[in-house]
Amino acid sequence: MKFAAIHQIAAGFAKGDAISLEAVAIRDLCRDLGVASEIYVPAERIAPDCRTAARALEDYRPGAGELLIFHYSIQSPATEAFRRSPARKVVVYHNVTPGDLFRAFDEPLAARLEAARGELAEVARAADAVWADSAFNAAEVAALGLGGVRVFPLLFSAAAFDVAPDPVVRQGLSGPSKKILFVGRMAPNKCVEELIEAFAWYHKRLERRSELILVGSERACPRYFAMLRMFAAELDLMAVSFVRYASPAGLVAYYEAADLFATASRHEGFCLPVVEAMSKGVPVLARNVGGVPEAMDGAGVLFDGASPAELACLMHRLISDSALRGEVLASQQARIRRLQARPVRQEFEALLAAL
Amino acid sequence: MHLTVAGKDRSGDLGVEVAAAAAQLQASGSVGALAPEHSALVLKAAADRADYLRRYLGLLGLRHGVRTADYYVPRGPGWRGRIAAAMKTALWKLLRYQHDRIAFQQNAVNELAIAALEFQREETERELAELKRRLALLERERGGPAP
Repeated sequence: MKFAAIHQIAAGFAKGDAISLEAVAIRDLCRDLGVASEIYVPAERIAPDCRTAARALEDYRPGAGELLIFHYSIQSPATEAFRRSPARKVVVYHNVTPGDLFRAFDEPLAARLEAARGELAEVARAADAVWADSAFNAAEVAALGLGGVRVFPLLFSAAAFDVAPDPVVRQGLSGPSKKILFVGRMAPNKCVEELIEAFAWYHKRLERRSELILVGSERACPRYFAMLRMFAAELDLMAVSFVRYASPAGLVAYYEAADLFATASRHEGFCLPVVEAMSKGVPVLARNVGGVPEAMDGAGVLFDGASPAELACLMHRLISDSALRGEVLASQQARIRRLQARPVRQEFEALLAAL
Repeated sequence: MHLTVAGKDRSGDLGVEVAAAAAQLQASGSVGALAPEHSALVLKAAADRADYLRRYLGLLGLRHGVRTADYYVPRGPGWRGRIAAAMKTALWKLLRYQHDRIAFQQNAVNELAIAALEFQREETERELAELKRRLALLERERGGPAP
């Protein structure tokens, strides 16, 4: 191995977060290769239950012959640490959500996102190599005039979901109603309001015994979350549940109980939850945008240009048409088999060898 | 509508069927209870956080009431479902007789709390405008911006 250690830095760390999961998977890969590896994150951005998995960025001390991998997604103190580090450097671009989508709800956050997009070219030039977790993200970097961006698709570890479902959550989901699930941050780019409106059509006109379960933190944009609550209330939708936090066991219970996973997100660098849903045998309905088609890889259902009523009818068909459902599930099982057969270690070693 | 199922373009068959079913649904009316200008979605057009707050309080002012009249009773399948729904409807009418008095009081409290928020916001804006005016005056007198 050409590196004495391979460390990673990121803007935040939390259980279930896609970037955190990838950082853990890379750290484990490095350790399997016999290389010391740690994850460093600004101390105040490490979730309290993750203090053993990630170390404080303030404790990062680069040594000779090391490699530093920077997971780039937003402006944070990690960017400055990356700039200063004398180690060989790789930036992994996970996409930065366009600030415009946040402006109505939180203009300081919109400014941070725009700044992060503005800094991307400089950060990428400071690196010895740029990796992107989807071809969509790689194309964004290439559009800045940077060549040689390598695609290293976001790592999915089925083992992270290999836990027994939370019995309390499962008990709460044991009713006969049809369950439509969304998992993701409650952020404006996810367009959860479009999902709620589609569900209103489905619930009021097609299947009264149904519920929409929205699992995801509201902390990224509380004002957007307030709008969603208000919108669900004005549509008189008691059947919409907002679940702000789910443990891995809780998340497994939601996936296992779901009849359909749906997302109307309009900006995604990859979208790990669609892969998670596929691995749990839940039909996936997603907007054909950004890195989502890569995450789906020819499986599930992709839509574009659908009105809320059309989306509701599509949900209905996917839940009630067993032939269509079978076709979708078969494509998803094939997708998961391809993912499981992915030679991750060889891909990673090839990327390291190219440095 | 473009539709891809299991990697195949199904816009021409499934997409058309879904669009026809949706048109049938829409012909029977909308699912929203409010006019678009009163919908929570107007918040998406806010210029900034201050504008968001103004719009939010305006929308909140329209939503102070606990509604009891249009309570929906779900109907299960078969004759058992019909009987259960009839019983629940009768029970709800009976409960409303007492419940509406409580709802009336709660609605009044909600409305007063929202008005208090609005008064507080107006007062804060007035104080801020006054402070900005006095700061500008001081800076003019000093001949430069305050440190």
